[in-house]
Amino acid sequence: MSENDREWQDLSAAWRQSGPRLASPSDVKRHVRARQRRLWAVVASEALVVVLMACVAVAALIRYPDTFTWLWTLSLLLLIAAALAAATWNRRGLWKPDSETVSAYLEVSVLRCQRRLRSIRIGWWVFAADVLLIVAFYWKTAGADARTWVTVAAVLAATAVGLAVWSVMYRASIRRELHTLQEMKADMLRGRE
Amino acid sequence: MIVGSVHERAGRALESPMQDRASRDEQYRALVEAHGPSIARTAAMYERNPGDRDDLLQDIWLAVWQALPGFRGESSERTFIFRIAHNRGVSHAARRRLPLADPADADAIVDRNADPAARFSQSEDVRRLFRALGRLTLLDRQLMMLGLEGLEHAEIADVLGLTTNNVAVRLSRARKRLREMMQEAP
Repeated sequence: MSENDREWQDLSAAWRQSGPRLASPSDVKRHVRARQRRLWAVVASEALVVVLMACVAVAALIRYPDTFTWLWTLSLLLLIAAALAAATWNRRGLWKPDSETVSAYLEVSVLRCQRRLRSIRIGWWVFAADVLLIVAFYWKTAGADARTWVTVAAVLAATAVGLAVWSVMYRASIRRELHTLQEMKADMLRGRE
Repeated sequence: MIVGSVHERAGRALESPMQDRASRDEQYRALVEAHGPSIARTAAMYERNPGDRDDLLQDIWLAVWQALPGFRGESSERTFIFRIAHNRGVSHAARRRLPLADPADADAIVDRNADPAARFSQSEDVRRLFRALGRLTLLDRQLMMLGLEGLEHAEIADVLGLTTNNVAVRLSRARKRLREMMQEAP
């Protein structure tokens, strides 16, 4: 055995002796379960928002069963369906198991970032459609009442500003992540040469 | 010590959902016991801050728990778990925008303030090793970490998605660089 090999074996032994204190397997499992519950809570809250929007549409239909309300409700339901379809379409090909090789995982991580950037644009289209529906609703119910329109305009403007700030920050964070992932991917590609 | 591989025990999975769950629990416990130290070291190389490191570790073990039902033994148990650990580590590093080629602060990895049982080995060799590893590029760092954990070239290739030849050549270069760095900075 060469000097280098001996040195490598010593380093490997020292490396394997190092390490932080470990939680017991049952502690790890408890943490994992808590995390799983939190993830399910997020999924459930997203589903709840969709159900609530559908309930609002149906309630409006029952209360004002005229042609406009039918059209408005149908538009709202179509918007929900379109938003869900767009979100699903945007996620196509993104699922890869975590047990995939690191290089394959990097490829899909880059794609995920690109899709998240696209989801911001989709979010703006959904918001624009929402604005149209809200304006149509108040045009029908409030008519020319100036006070109502000022309030509606203020709420929509505040929402647009909030969405814009969030979009800029989220986009910057995704771009930084994408840049890092692309550097990692380039390094991995050099490793294959 | 694992008695039989996860795959063997998966093959013995019992029929009812509750028994399946118990079997999965048992597989999971065995994995944590067998690979806990290796995975903790892997997490430490991706995150220096102890609090964030614990989060990353939880993230890795959650991903292992979720991936377990899909594990059919096409790869070895070690390959399976190291792939998950490195993939989660890569995601974590990208989100946190951690420097890839800057010197890692070995003193942050060797947590002085933790209770004695929680400390990393303070041996000078390990500290120099941590510092030098932190200066390697991501791929070289991953290669070295897997090599130091005792994985064969074919296993490392299987974790990273490279060919065995690539691994052999690149690992040899990385070992040389690491040796030079450790000699430069005593």
